[in-house]
Amino acid sequence: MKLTPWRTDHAVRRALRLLAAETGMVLRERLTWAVLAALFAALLLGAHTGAVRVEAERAALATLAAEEGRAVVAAREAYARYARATPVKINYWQDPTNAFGYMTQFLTVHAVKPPTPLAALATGQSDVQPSFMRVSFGSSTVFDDVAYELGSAARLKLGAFDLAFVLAVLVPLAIIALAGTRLSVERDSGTLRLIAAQPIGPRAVAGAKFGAVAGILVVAVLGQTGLALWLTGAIRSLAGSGVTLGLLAGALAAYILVWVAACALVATLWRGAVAALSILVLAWTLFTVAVPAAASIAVDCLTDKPSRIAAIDASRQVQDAFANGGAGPRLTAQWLARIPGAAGRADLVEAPEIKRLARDAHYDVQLDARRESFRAHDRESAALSRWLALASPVTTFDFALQRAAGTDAGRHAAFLASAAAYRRTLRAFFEPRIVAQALNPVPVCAGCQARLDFDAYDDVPRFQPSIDLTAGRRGALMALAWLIVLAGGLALSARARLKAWPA
Amino acid sequence: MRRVRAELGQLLRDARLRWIGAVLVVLLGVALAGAWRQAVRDAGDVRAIAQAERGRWLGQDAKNPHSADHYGLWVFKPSAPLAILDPGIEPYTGRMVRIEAHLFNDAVFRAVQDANPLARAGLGSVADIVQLIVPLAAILLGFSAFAADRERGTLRLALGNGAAPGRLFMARFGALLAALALLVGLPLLVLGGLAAVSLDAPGWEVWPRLVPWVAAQLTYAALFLVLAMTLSLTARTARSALAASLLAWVLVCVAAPRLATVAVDATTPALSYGETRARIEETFRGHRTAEANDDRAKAVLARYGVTDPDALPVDLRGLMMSENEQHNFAVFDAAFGAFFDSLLRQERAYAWAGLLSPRIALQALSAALAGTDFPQHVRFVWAAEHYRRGISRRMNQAIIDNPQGGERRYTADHDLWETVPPFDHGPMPLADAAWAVPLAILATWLAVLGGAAVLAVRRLTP
Repeated sequence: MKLTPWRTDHAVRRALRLLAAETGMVLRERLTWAVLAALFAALLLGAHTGAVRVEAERAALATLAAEEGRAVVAAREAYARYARATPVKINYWQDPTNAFGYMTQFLTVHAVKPPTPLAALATGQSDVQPSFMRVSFGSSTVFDDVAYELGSAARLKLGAFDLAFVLAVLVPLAIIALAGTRLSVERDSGTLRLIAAQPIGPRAVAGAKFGAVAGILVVAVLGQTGLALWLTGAIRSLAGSGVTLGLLAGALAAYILVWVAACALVATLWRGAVAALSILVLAWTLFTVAVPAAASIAVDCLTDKPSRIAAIDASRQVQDAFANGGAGPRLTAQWLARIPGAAGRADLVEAPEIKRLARDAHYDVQLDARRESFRAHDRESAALSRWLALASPVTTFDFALQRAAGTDAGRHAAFLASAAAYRRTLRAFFEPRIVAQALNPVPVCAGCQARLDFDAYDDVPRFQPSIDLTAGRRGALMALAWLIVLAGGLALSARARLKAWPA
Repeated sequence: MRRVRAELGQLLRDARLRWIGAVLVVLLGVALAGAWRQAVRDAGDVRAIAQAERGRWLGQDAKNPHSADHYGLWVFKPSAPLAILDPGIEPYTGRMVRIEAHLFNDAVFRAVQDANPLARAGLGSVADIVQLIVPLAAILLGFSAFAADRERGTLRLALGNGAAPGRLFMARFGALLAALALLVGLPLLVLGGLAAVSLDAPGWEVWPRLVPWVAAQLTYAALFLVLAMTLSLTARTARSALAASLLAWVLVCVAAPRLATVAVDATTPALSYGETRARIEETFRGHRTAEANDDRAKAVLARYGVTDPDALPVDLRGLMMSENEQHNFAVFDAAFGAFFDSLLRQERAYAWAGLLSPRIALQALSAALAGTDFPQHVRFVWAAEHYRRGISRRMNQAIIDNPQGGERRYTADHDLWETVPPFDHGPMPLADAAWAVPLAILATWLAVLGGAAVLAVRRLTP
């Protein structure tokens, strides 16, 4: 039937009246306020947990900066002390005035992954992946990511009670509690027959019922989340993340609509409250744990995960080849031959610093392909996971929060790559100085035991942390778009099934 | 028993049980097969590289023992065979340690580090399925036990015919528990047992661990069965019983475990690993300065009553390295001892947090029984460290016993390398594992819920 403007206007007014009546009814229910109160308490706790974590990360970074500063001061003091004659023998590993000694024993620098402005939103990978790594040359390293902050394994296993958990996991349960049986309970109690006897279609009734819950939940959850963030001081400054936060708010609203629409769709099965509740909880379980588990298996199958054990074996083979069978001196001589002015210096082949540099260069060349395979896997796994996360609205929204918070796997993979690059930069800084000292030792005062060839402590390159705010924005936008599509799809499916009242 | 058989017969005809059973068996089977395949592959890799490492250690060239000490080797944590059922904390702790001079290296390469970001969101193991999904299955089977009859009016009929409420409850509970035992306990016992035994893990007491482990999982399932049936006894409608049971499930299995992390962090904070490392580094820095080293050298010479190192009957460098290591060992013992103690305190607090949720209690109990709990890891860390110290002591002693100086250079060979035994780490015996507290807490949960069920049965009205 084609609606005339008068009829359309009338239908809209009637729908609005129904919506207002339903909204009033939902707001008068004690269950509504109990659920919203519990949700607010959870949001407050989640925001507080995030704020505490971010504060701890900031404090840790401040401690590292202080530690780096103290190391430089100590080296400078040692330089002043050792620049005078002394009977004390100073080995290279005790000598911060020597470029090699400083690089291998005293250098205190870190690659850091500072928290983003929205870091408090999601713990993400931050509790299992380190937010900083000490870059050192004291011993050989096989991979980029050997460092981690050992903590309670039980805590890691249980997972963090953070805002992402509350929003992505608990909010749908709150929605199911409020909207899950909204229509089916009418059928169970017999009032659906009375409603059906009125001159009103099922679409208008369902629209009013689920629209009222959706409206209340969107306003309440967004408001409560904002209030929780403000009260706990979880977001100190937006610093360029305002748009991302806005997009996330939109994604949260769309996420709520997805679950309300799912409740509406389940209601159209007309199977009663028990069945509706069972189906919705099973759907929640499916999308919260089963689909992510299946997606995780898919990621593992589709990406070629290199073996850590095999990589260690390879690294030991390289190490073994250098250390034994006389290969070390030959490889050191080859490495030395590439340096201008060092080709004929056979005496340097046994110098510890030259041996070490040649050895590390050899390891780097031999193991680079393996390191790169791990980096490539991390990047590939992070990217594929982002796409497969779309299989579930829960992971879609959760991943958007993680990307905005900068606690996602993609950022960590980029961090590992930049930390490895920083290590190379440091090596490039020290290597010429070490070689120059080996070729032409700096003259020192009579009776001085230290080498006194290095005092450029302030010139040592510093790690430049990067915060890619656009990644968070892109993630939030993608989640928003996808959740709108999902919500729309579910709502349209429900609408299509609500042509007529059940028999 | 007759009543139980009758209830069981009725239950087996219920499509709901077939669906739930099929889903559970598929989930458990997939998780178990994946874990077993990975465990077989890892065990093979570890065996091969451990042998290769031993070969490399023994086959290294003649060299100064200190260089050999630096050359070192890797040692690997043997995975518990029951980790295929419950990996416990194993994915969150390192699996291998680089043994080398001077350094108390971390156990590195945690499975969680290499896992894709979706892995933690999902169900990673058989234990995860038991802890999260089996309670849901128990609820879906048990919520309608009495409430549905009440709604239909058949409960009035049954009670009116003289059926004792207690017997009725026990018959239905027995039938449902038997169904769960059939769907969950039997596959876990048979498939888990076969898989675990196939992994060839001497010293792990596989069957003494497996049987109580399966019993613990069934007890946990029984808890939720009792809960759902108790609520079913009191609820007016099946819908109310289901809603209340699901609410309890959400609170106990989903929210409470994460809430526990907040509570334990607040009440039992652990020391920071980074700060512990920094403190150790700071101590070493002061100890290894040239001046401090010179003072110690003078003290050694004075002890032997000589002024020239060449006049010593032992090697000065070796002796000083040995004394330096002793100093470092003491620092490591104090700092890491305190650090690991603080983590173990926190783990114990998590076990007590089982009072908040039986899921937490089961998690602690299950990992302790499976041999995948944190004390097992700590035992490995210290075993690796003591092995490292053993190597350092042998190498330093060889240097001490062979003084160098002037033209004298000491190089050791295969004979010395062979004095270092292979790393042989045995698991903590089951008797020493920390299962008592979580077991008591799980039993308390069962007793409390059982008491509530008895009360509800006594007050049962049609």
